[in-house]
Amino acid sequence: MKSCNEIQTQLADYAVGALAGDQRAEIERHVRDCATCARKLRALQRTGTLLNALRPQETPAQVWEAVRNAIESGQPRPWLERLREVFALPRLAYVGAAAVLVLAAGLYLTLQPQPPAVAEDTDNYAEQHSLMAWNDPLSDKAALGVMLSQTAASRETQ
Amino acid sequence: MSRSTTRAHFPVASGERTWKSVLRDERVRGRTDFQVRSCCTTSPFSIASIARNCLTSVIAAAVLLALASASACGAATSEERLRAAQAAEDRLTFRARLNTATFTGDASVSSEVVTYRKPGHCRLEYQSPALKGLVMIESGDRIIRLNAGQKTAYVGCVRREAGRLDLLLKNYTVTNEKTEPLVGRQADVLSVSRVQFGHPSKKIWVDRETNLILRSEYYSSDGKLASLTVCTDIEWNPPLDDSLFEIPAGWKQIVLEDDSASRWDRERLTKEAGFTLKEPSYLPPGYVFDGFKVCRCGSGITSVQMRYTDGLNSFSVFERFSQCRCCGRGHGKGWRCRQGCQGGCELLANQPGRVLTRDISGLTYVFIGDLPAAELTQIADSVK
Amino acid sequence: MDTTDPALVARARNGDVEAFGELFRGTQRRIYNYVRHMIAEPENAADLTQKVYVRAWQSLKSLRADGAFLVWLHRIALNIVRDSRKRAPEPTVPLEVPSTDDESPRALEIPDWSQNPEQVVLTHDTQEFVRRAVRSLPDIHREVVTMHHLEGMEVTEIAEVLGISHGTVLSRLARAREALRRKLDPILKEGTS
Repeated sequence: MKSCNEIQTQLADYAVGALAGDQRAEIERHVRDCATCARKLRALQRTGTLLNALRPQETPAQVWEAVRNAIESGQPRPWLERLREVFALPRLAYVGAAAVLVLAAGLYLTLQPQPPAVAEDTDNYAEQHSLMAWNDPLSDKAALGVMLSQTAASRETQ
Repeated sequence: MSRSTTRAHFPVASGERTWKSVLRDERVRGRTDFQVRSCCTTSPFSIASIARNCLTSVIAAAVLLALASASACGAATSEERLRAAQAAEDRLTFRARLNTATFTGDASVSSEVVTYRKPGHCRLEYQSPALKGLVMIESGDRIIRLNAGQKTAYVGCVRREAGRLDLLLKNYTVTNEKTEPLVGRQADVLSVSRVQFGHPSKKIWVDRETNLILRSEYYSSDGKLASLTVCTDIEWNPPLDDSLFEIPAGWKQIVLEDDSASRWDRERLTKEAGFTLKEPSYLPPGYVFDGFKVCRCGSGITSVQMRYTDGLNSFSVFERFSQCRCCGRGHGKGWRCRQGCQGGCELLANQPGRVLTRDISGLTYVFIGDLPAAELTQIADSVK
Repeated sequence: MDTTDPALVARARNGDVEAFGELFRGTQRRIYNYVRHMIAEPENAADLTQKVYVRAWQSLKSLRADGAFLVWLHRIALNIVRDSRKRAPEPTVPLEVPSTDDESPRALEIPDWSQNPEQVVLTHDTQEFVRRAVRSLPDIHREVVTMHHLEGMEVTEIAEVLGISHGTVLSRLARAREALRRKLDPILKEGTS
């Protein structure tokens, strides 16, 4: 059986719900019979009550106006923020991007413009690929219809 | 404001009775016990009464056994709810109003939709002016897109393949997140997702009474909301004329492809396409081959589509000659692929996903699917 | 639980300022109170809160999952608060019973615990006393107390924002609770009657 000192080291864990099963039961058994530990536990529980009783404060009205002005005036993004976003990409994307750049440079020097057939066929294929998902489990047919029509419209305008 | 330190799971709406509580009440009221007792009070020693008693006891035992097993099973599991939701669409007859929106890249398209459904048939009438009177019709395996401006019906065929839902349940985890009201009905919110990052996921709101999906959210492999459809009004069992699901008389019909997938095997496809099919040796975990299709593109080239699915998501590999034999356009000096010969993926413009094109030994391969760029590239690299 | 509508997030990502405004309205109280309790000078809270939302707008494209907006927003708030503390280290917050100009210490009103021990109403002064006690905690304890008790976040949500385990959150809450019990002892007294 644990001593009061040992129990008291666990009272805060009990109060926040960090204990389970046997440990919880042991604390509950002890505080039933020990006034000192019971008083300490009550104090811990009341501390929680005080924290929960704090009234949240309202954000000053001008905060949204200031945010709105800042985003509508299109503040340039801090360069550090842009750099962070770039470095958030997976490493493979850099390798792919670098490869594309090198190849694109080489290809541009020697190759002719793309025939329209390839672009049109990609739209055809995209439409075909979407269509085949029509009867897939849980397919959202309403949304699929939108995608199919947009892809078809895109092809028809080329 | 009281706060708990642990998250509550599967909250039950107040006043709702679970199946278990209903069964418990039946036993407490002692209906089965009463039947046994009442039979025992009559002529205990006659053969007829003995037979009656035995029959009653057998019935009572069977009922008790059923109650016990039902009690052990408890309420439907998330997977069962999902199966029920999938089956509901093919069972119900209704007319409904939906709001749908798709989000791709920087664009979004939204529309109110009036839908008519009966088993095996579906009609979707898009109300948004941006979609110019678009109507989609599903009639059996035929999927028809009506272009009102051109009075043209584009007809495709999409067979229903068995086993896809089982595959979905094998690859995806279904979780019943909560129950909440929607359109004046109680709906279970089921999330369908894979443990690994980089796969699409879905969230659906399933009506507790009819299992109809009332709201559907699709998140692409990038984790972004790609489409959302929510039901705003339902009318059950209205009279639905057959003409709703037919092509209007006098309209031009363009058949996109025929229902011939089942006839194709690799040997016949090779003859039809004129080249030996090459398939990717790498498939992302959980994906299986779903079937072949033959397509004829706008430029007249025959392409073969190979489709792969994991139950919820899919990708396609289209193969064709790089050079169009009819008009001579195509590969050789002067050809530039959209992305470069070994280039990177490009996002699709009107749907979630990416496209990647490769030219290998005189054939063009187009890989399309909602997969991370690295995954699509790995699939493409495995075609040799 | 994050109840922000993912459709709103998607619209905001596409440049819809009104949608972002809705997101602001749904989350501002939580973020503002978090910032207010995490910095020494509450008068700077409005500026820092503005910074949180401007940065969120600018970084929306980096949000990986529309359904995880609140956790992501909270992480931005966390980083901005930490950055501001690095630039201007906080002075020690004295924790004493507030006094008036007449130099007689004003007695704090002890809440009536006899009525309902789980719910009490606090006077303004008592609230300030409790808030100062929270601000005097070490940062790692102050964070979890603020998020759990002032913002009403579940332990699992806090764990997600801070990138720590569920158990570690509970452990920090327990240590914070113990520290606060000692600091708040004057108003935790049992009733004398």
